[in-house]
Amino acid sequence: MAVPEAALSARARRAYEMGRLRSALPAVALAVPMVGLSIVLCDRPTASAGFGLALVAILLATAWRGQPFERGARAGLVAGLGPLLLPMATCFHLCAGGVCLLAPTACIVAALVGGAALGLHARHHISASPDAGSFMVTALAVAALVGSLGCVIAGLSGIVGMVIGLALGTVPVVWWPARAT
Amino acid sequence: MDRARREALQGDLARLADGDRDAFHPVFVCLWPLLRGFASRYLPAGDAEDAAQEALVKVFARAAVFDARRDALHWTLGIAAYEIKTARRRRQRRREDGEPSAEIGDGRLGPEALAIAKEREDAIGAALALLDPADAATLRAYAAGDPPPVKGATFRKRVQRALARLRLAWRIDHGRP
Repeated sequence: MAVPEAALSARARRAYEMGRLRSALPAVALAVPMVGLSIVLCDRPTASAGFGLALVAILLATAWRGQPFERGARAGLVAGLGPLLLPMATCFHLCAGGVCLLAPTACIVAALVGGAALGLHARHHISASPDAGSFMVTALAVAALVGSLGCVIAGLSGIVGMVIGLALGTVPVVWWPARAT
Repeated sequence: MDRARREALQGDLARLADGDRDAFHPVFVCLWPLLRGFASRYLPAGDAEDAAQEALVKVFARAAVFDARRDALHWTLGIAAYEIKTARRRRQRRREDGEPSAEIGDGRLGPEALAIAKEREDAIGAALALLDPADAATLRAYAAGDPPPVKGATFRKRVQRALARLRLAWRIDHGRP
């Protein structure tokens, strides 16, 4: 039954790949309100939509690919929540006047905390794994995109500050145990 | 299923859920005979093949959300049991409704029935093309009523096997017969 089994195998393979894409839907569903919030509150709808599209694309791709990429994307979603929400919270009232004095600081501080949390998670769960690199790169990319949705409120400087903050928060925590062991 | 195979299935399905494509083939090789056997215990041959295929495809479609803490065999058989239940219900409904007549008043086939028959013939041709040439030749000889090139019992056995393969190829390409 070599040929029919091969056809059945191909059909099962297609179903599996589609199932992997469908498994991204919960993460995409989480991203949708983030993007909505960014569009409504940050007054830069084009940039917010662009970051949102990039985020959805990367979530779909990582869920489809699976393994460290998928785990990294999940961790990145959580790590990016701080830089997403804190700038919006600090600027909620001031933004109405078009001035967001606290936003860049909030972006950097939240990104430092998010990055450190990401680093701690990586240190405890995946530091010895050969997939650690893929995990970290994906997690940082997703966290940066989620953070950008919030830090877009502070403009380019806020986004750059947030990315630097994420890196500064993550790298020492990941690097330190590697030196200590 | 013995303990070692069950543990292997558990590990392979967990790897597949994580996105490791290398685990696809071992899971397929383990599950296909298992699901076919399971379905054939509750359904007649044709429906069992259909239900087993549907179950197998659904197992793979949901493999990405399989929770590795659950028992892989129970999870798989749960999906298969649902498919078997659906197939039985469908079978029951078919029996209750009865097959619609394809003939027109004077006993000749209507245009719709002719189109269906033509489509079915084309599909059989395509399914035959998928088969091993020896199987296709056996079936053509059988259909034409040619004298068998081997002993009667051997020929009957060959026809039986070739028909089973044809049915499988048909179902894979066209869903239900």
